[in-house]
Amino acid sequence: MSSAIRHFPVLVPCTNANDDRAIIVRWHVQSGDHVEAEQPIATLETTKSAFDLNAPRGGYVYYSLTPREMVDVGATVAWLSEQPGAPPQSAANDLVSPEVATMEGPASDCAEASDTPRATRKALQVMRQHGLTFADFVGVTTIRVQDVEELARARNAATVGVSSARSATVTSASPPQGTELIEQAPSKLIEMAALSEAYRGAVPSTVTISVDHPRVAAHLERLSNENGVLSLLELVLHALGRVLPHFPELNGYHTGSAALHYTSINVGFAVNAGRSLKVPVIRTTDRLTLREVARTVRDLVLRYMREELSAADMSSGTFTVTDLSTSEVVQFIPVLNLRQSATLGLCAPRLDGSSDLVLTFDHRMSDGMQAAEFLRELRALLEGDDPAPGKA
Amino acid sequence: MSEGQSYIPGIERAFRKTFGRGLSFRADLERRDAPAWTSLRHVEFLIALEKEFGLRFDGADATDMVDIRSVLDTVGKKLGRVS
Repeated sequence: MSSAIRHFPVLVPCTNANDDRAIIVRWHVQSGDHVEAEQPIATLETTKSAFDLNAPRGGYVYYSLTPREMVDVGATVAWLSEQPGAPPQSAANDLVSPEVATMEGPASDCAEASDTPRATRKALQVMRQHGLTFADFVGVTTIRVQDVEELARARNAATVGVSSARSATVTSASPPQGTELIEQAPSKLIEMAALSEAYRGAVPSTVTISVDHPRVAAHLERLSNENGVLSLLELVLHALGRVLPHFPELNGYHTGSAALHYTSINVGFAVNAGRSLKVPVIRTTDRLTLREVARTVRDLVLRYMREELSAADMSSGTFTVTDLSTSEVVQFIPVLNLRQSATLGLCAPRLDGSSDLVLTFDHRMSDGMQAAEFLRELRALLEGDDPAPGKA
Repeated sequence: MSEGQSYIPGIERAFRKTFGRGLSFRADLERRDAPAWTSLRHVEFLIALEKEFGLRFDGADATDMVDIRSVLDTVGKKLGRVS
């Protein structure tokens, strides 16, 4: 009696809810090597962090991807075989069950990681044909062919394509004459892929409102006398916690077939102080006092400066603020982030004392009138006006 | 300078490293009176203090340190020099 050699696919784990892809930084073992359970086999990097993939079980590891190639979360990055010299002939043939590689480093806080769906063999084949991954089936316990085909149809109808795992692979082709390649960090490549994904299908629109900067400064000074010195960003983040509950369309995202709003308000803020762009997140912003917001911001910025921000610190954002108010930039258009319907930009004051709040939003989720109302309510809070009854 | 104040030169070094000669180091200097003491500079000052003394600060420390006097106090407490 012959017994089949079993091959176990090693899947890319979800490190946070906002990342669809990871890039292979390096392999720690050669294809064909024997590894023990929990032995690091590769280092991967997302927009949020780098992490080591550990073998979920012992065996002989096989892989074909090379460093700087991208893989989707939930996709197979390697295989573990029970015997040497027996790489899987076909991804579909010998599948036993998907195994998410264990991760060295910050603990994952994404729901997908603890609730990874399983797929039937046929469904897995169809998923690959359509470029879908396990990350596309959050909340589904067992993925069946029908589930895959329904999602593929919905995405095609909305012309929201899903890129294949290797679509963003770095090309090694020679640059055209008169140009030279710019070596980009893995995190930049992932960011590029995430932004491309965010804008695939989105209908970005931007509205701007001017605020009376001296009034904002005076209000900030009054609050600083009560709470200690505060920054404009901290004031804005706190105000967003009060305004966003009235605008769920700006605290959600569009899947291509459905409009969703988040049940939590977790506002991220972009930081770029010489250590690459990061977006740490203030969780449950709407439940924090101004002083608590300030403490959280400072805690996160301290961790940013020490390069200690974890994936958890930067995951689960539902709305983002980009603050260029200290950079002498009086106008810019913020970009939408993946799985978010709006981003707020803070501009520096002009010579006439006015400064702009700029909101980029996905027009599939909201419209210009609503965005303007959102900005008016935010402005009122920043300038120290009493909010309208029933409002923020 | 007494033994209890021996860390003050280290604080001044961190201050100088962060603000250069743009701000004068004195006990009554307050953040709100010093436009150059921005929120980013504040965090950079704390990081410089961490490196100078091998300490760690958190968001609450950053919020409480609103002037040089409170910086001296917080650093002193973390070093066990102030009760």
